[in-house]
Amino acid sequence: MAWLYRHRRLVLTLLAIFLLLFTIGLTRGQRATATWPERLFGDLLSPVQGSVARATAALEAVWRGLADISRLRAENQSLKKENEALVALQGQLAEIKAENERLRRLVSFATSSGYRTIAARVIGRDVDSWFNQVVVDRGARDGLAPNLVVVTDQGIVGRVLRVTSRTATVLLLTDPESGVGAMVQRSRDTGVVTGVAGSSNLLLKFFSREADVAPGDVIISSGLNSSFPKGMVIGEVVKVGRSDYGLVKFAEVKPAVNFDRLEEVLILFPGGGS
Amino acid sequence: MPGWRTVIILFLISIIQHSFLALLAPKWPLELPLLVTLLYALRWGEGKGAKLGAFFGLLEDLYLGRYVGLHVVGYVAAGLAAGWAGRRFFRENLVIFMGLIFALTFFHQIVSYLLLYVFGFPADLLAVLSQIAWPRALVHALLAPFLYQPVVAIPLEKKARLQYLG
Repeated sequence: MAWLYRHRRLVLTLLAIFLLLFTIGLTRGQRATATWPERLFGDLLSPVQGSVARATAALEAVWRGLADISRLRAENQSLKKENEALVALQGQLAEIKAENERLRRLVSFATSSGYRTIAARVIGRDVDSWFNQVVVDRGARDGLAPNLVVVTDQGIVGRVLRVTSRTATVLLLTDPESGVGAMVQRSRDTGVVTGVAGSSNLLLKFFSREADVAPGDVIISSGLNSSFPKGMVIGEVVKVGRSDYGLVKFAEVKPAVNFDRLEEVLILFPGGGS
Repeated sequence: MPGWRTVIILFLISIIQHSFLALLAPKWPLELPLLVTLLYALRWGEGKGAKLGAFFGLLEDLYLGRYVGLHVVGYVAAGLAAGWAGRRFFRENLVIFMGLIFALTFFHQIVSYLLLYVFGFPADLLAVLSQIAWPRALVHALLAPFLYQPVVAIPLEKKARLQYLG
């Protein structure tokens, strides 16, 4: 015993080594279950480990973020520019699509109208509300002359008032000095359509006091007393009335053409052929 | 004789009005050349106002005017009236300034109506006042505060400073 006491450190060390070897031997291989000290230790430590691990991850993310900040900034700038370019492109595509649609309708109308036509773009507009006229980018060198009829696929726009070599001024239907022979499509009663200063609607004055007309009636060109061909749509009746003394029957007509959104028009040449 | 730069600026104003504003917002009752004429005349008096009005009016008439001379007469009248009103009433007060722009725009529309009436243009006075003159005068008056500083107040301050120095 005295020897053991004297060499207690050696004995304890050997014992520990033996125990460890024994433990290693017991726990070697792929175990399906943990021992109770392992479980106890693991369970006690896991919350702390989890918190530390999360904090470490967060710190790592911050660190990585700090390290990446200049790269991200550059990438962000580049993406922003790309996005702006895409938005602009999208706008251009939408505009091209709308223009394509309008031109397609115009071409379809031009083909079916049986007239020789030429397309023109509106490039200017009157600024005072007294006159309603626009300038188009076709002129005498394209064969335009005064009094040619101007239309869109929606209906009559007006007529050419005067031309220069490269442009033409078009008198719109809504101008107080324009006048088109018109008729009610349903009843065939005739009259004259003119514009009204300051109003976007037209005024149809009938030749007969007994004209049969009602709101909703479609008004077309009559082909009488003007250069406008018969049967072209002018607009739709929104109101019917009589003059102060009841001598003249009139109708307020909403034009078929949206004159506020006039971008492309067709000019009709007399004589037919396309 | 105005310098080339002035002439180009005036052309640009006219083009912006006819081929940009009028196509973009045709129902917006703004007549930029008239407004510029009024502001210029308020600042510089009848003579220069009338000259600018004549130039702008001629541009308008040449570009789209059906009654060539109508715009010249209307703008010159507006320029003369604005120059006179500027001397008589204008005291660098924003409310007076807006009121003057309103009244002068209205005056121009009445002059135009009378001229057109004389030449047989079919327009009803009541419709003209309610649907053309009134909205235009209102828009011009509302725009006046934004143009007050650059067009009127700054040049006046500069003139006062020059007088003080000189």
